[in-house]
Amino acid sequence: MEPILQCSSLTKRYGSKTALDGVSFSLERGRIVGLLGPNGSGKSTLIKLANGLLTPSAGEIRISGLLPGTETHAMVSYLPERTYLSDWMTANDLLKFFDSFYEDFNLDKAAQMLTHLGIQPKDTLKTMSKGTKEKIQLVVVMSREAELYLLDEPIGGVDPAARDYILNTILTNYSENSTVLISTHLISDIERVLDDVIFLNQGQITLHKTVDDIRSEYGKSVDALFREVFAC
Amino acid sequence: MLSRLIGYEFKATRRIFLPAYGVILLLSIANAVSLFFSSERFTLPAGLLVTCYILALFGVGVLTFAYMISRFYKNLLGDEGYLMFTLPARTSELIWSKCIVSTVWTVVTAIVSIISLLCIGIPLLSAETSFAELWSQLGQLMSPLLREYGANVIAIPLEWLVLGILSIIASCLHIYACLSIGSLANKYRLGAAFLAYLGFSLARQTIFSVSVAVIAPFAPENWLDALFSAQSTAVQLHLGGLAVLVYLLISCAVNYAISQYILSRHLNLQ
Repeated sequence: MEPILQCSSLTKRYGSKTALDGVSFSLERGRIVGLLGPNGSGKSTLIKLANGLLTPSAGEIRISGLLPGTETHAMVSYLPERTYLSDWMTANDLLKFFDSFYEDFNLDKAAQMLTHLGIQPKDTLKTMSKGTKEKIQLVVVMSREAELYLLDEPIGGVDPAARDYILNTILTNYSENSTVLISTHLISDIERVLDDVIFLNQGQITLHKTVDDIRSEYGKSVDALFREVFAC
Repeated sequence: MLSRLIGYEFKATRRIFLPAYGVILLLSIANAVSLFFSSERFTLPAGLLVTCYILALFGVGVLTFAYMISRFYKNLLGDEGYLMFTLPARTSELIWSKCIVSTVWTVVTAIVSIISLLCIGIPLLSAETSFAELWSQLGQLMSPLLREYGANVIAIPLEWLVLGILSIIASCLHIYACLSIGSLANKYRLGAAFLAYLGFSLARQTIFSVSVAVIAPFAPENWLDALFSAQSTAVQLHLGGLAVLVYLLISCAVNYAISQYILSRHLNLQ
């Protein structure tokens, strides 16, 4: 079966700075993968390239064998590291928006999750806190029955209680055959849910293994290995 | 997908435009009432109302233009672009949805402005003369024109109306092309877009001057005068319209191609 995500010699340069340097790897279906690396290692750049928000300087990235475009957008659910919602919308408007544009959006599931969060459908996003907006964004992203979820720093900048909520939401809402790629540098919080990890450093992949292999080969947790590899 | 994008765009913008139109119409009605019932036309309150109306009319014009720029910049090239460019929609559909809705709002702004002027003008005119008399005066004005120019009396204004709408579309696409070029810069993107705008103006003038310099030696003397003076006024207006149409279509095609190319092949959302 075609890998859900495949990169071949993927390179991205911003002027003279190289953000990704000839990255090659592929992701199989039905896995939860941690894309781990320090700040500025190229995690967000890789995820933006997969979404077609950036254009590669060299090499290519394919989703289920296709270059990023209209077809891949229909199968990828993307959570950016920033808020991309329009402030004038109500929570209900946002659900309707996703429902009308994505065929795989589960409106009932999203509505239930908002109720569980205590968010009123008629509340406008403008009146909500940054944390609530992030949760709503996660709700709509995880309410899609997508083939690939690309989650960029979903737990960055939120309190530990919210982190548990977010991880629980991810775990209980992705389907078995989907792949979830989670970019983060907060490894200890996320390690327990991961099947595979990719270490990214200065735009290059330094490690791509299963969590079980890391534990048996190195005799330590992913978090401990990360601290050792990326020690300042 | 285009119809859904247009629907969303209307929803996002109507909350600004509809209240603005309401203010214009209310102010025009207030002005009409004030001028109709006032024995002295130029009292201070009446003057203030007229000033408010003119300022509101000007404000809605500026708002329409500013929204044309800000919706494209903010919704496609800003943070909201992370959502819009990951929808299963083609880049062309994103561009056209913005352009169509901006054009519609510009046309509606013009219509609302005309209606508001009529709201003020008609009661004032009706105080001086009756509607029946006004209608017959209009008929008297039109009948010699109809006799001389026939269907052209209707056709030419319609042609120029279409050209007016096309020029709004061309302006939208031109601004989008400048903003798209600006998005290629790593910093100061609006500044880069403004430079692109100046660059386009310079390029247009240069192309025009060079074309004239190249063609002029080979063209018969006074060919333009000869071409036009041999025709009736109606034909002259049709020919003029055709020339404007060709220019606008080329402008639309070039500017659309620039935006489409940049946003589909060199998107750079940072």
